[in-house]
Amino acid sequence: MATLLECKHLCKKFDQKVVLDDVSLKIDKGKIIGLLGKNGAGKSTLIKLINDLLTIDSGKILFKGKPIGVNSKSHISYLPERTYLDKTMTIAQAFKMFSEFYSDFDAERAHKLLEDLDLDESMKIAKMSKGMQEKLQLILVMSRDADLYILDEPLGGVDPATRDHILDTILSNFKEGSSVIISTHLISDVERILDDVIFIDKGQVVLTGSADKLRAKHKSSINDIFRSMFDAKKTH
Amino acid sequence: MLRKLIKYDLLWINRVMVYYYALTIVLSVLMRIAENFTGSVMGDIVYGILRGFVIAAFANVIINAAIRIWVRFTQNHYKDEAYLTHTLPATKAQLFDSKAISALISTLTAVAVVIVCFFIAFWNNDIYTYFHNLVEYGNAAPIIAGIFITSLLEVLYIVIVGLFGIVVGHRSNNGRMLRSIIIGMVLYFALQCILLAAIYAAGSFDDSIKAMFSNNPQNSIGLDSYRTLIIISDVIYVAINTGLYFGAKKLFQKGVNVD
Repeated sequence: MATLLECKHLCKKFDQKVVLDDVSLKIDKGKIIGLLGKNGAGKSTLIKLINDLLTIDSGKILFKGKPIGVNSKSHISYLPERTYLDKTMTIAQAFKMFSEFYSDFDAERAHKLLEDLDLDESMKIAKMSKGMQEKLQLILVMSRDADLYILDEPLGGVDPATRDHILDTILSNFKEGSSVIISTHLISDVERILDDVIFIDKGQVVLTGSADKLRAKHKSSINDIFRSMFDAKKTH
Repeated sequence: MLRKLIKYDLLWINRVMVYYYALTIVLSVLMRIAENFTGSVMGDIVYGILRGFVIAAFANVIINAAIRIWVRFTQNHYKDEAYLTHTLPATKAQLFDSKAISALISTLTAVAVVIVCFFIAFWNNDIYTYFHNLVEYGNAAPIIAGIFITSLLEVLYIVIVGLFGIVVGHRSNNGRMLRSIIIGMVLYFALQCILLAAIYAAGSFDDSIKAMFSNNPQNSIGLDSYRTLIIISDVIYVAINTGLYFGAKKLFQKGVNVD
């Protein structure tokens, strides 16, 4: 299967603290991958490096065989943990901005998602709750026909009742043949949609593989495998 | 891409600045009108108050333009909005240039508003005669234009030195804002010393410039010396501004670490 994204021996330190230590991984086309780990394991740092939000201390990140840059940013749709929109804008203005900057932005899909998620395009972002702003960002990100969607804790600030709705929105809107990386510590909520998993702990990749094969091998759910791995580590 | 980035930067900066510009123009016009009623106690009081407001409005326009440029740069490149800015399909050079060009346009606009309002509020024959006498002979217009150009370059210098401080300060992982302010201020004073030293050095070749450092310049400086002063200042400001621009851009292109 063709490789979409490849990280080679990535290292990142903040002052003397090592946050990522020799991380190497490959993301294939057409997969939904769970980037799983506890809080502070290094998931967000890895995602920020892929999105050019942090400088790499050593190692390489290749997207379709080329270093990350304008080309990768044109084809990666990224949902960060933070609310990143200019609060003085309305939803309609945010749509217009995305249409101007991203040639793959599908305004029609965005309007449909807006209706599904009960938002009105005349709403000012500053007057929306944090949850509504997160929904809007999800709409903007999922309305792009990207090759890779990177979703950092998409369920983090969402109540359990809305989580399934968010996951369904992700599943029914990403471009066919593209890949999705979902970073989360809420494993049981995303487990049902994952093809592959990457476990990350203390800045290192500790386990990767197909979700189905791991479930068969360990005869338990991904959530249980995760718990047993990290609970076992705690006891040592 | 650069054009689109500049559009959004200018929209953000000027969303507030237009109100300050309008206020400054209105105050200047009111002051000019109030000038016709001076001579009475009430007329003099109103004129005096408006004069104070107009001067404060001039300072406000320049200071706020600089602050909004710095805030836009910081928020857009290092705070929450950076998560969108740095994932747009644009190069780091384009991201930096959009801020630099919008800073240049915004500074030009702010200085232009102050100049226009200065003419509306203050310009009269007495001021013209003052400038005329100041240069002893000849047409005062080139000197006045030169002073305005130098003022523009000075304001631009303040803005760019601030941007340089932000870029260098944010390369650190801790105390980024404090470092940005300290670096900007130290650099500002250091480069001002270089400018002063260059003018002092020019005094070796021009006695009236040398006299500035010991006598009242208004009584001793001539038209040619004014020209020399303005040219030296402008050349140094252009060199410093260009150096700071390329230095900050090069550092920025090495990558950022967002908060």
